[in-house]
Amino acid sequence: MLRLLKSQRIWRHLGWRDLRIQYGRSRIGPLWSISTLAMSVVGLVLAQGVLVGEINFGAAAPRLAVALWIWFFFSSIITESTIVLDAERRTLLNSVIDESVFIAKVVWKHLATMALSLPVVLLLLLTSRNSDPWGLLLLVPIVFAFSVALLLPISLLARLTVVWPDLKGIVPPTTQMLFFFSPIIWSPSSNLPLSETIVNLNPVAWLILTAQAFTSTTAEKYSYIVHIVAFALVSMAAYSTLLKWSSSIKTRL
Amino acid sequence: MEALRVDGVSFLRSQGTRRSPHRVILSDISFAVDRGERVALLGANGTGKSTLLRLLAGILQPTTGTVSRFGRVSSMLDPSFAMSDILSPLENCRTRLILEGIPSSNIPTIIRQIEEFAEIGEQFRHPMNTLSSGMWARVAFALMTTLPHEILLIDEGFGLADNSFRAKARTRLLQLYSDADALVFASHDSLLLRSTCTRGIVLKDHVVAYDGTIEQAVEFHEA
Repeated sequence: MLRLLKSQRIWRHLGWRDLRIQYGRSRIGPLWSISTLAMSVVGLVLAQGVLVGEINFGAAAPRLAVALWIWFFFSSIITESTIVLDAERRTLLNSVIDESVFIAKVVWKHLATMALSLPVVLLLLLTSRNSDPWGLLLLVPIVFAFSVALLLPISLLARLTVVWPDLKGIVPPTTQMLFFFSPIIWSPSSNLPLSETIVNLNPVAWLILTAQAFTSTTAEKYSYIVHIVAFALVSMAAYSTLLKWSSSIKTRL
Repeated sequence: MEALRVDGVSFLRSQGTRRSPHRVILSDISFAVDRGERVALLGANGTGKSTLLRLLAGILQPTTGTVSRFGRVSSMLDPSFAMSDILSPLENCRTRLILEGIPSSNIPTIIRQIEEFAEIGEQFRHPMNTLSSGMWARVAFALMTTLPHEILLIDEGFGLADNSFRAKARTRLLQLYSDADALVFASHDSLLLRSTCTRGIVLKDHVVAYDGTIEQAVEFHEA
């Protein structure tokens, strides 16, 4: 972990550079990520409204905004981790930088994108009486802890994708399937079969519920903190062990 | 006084197949490079020259054996890695300098030197995809040759750009070779190696097949 902190100048730069490349030719640049979130929320509120025969934007939009905000972050990181080491092959084979820098870059880049779309979430939370917009501030360290916890699984995933390239075709659609098993378009309090089990086994569901709890005036706020901090600490220790004992993936590139 | 030492280095590349999990790239390689030496690496394609340079640079770790470096090693293996054609030469140079570990305070001065040497005018601030291939080569060359190098590792020569730039580039290369404390140069161009190096190491069948003067090494390689 200290190694990662020492190389923070490199992964921060590479993350911003990726965003510059991604949005280099676009007129509104990274604001696309804001509009994507806003359009997705509006689209899902309308779709739900059509299905249940009633559109209640004030009630549905804040919940959806928080859930999608977390979801975009999670799914983008997982999807990008399957291609990052292949995409950075030339850099890895021409510099002494190791793969952990590129893993940190992926997390950093999507945290930055997430921060950009924060105003949309805030704006939608302000539209609802049952929302606590200031809960978003409390949520920042929780999302950060979750990001640290993600370092281990995405590092393993990135390495596994180099060993078994077929994972590149399997992981992204599987991640997208996870969307339907996360409390985004359905509520865990609904009487869906296995909903409690799914939430307990699904880390994204877990974080979405935490985020929704923090930004709602009615929910109990702090019940998830201990779990997420414990998850982050265990994951951090496991990731440090992985970095210390595993050999470089460069010999496979 | 030694600049580099290679002791019993072997390198296996993981292939991931059950029938042949590893492929031998280098086997039991040992040699030392003294300060002031100019060493040519010769060998047919696939004999492990580039891998050996990466091991010397510390980019790859040997499967067995050790590589010792007694000074700051710089490698010029791929002139355009980490360069995006969406970004400008200015931004690409900044990225490469950060990857090299150059302190932020020194970067503006070095970038100015690169810009002056490349002589591409305002194009230095426009996306790389608006540059001609000659301009690309100028930027890559200026970027790789502006930094001072203590122990220098080069994989193949530089594709020097247009005629007007060639003489200037050649002068800088000669300066670079003479300024470096030690040089290891892998190439198929025996004329270039003869004019640059004093010693030759020939790789064949994953081992050092010959280590001696550059003239004899080239003869051995071409025999």
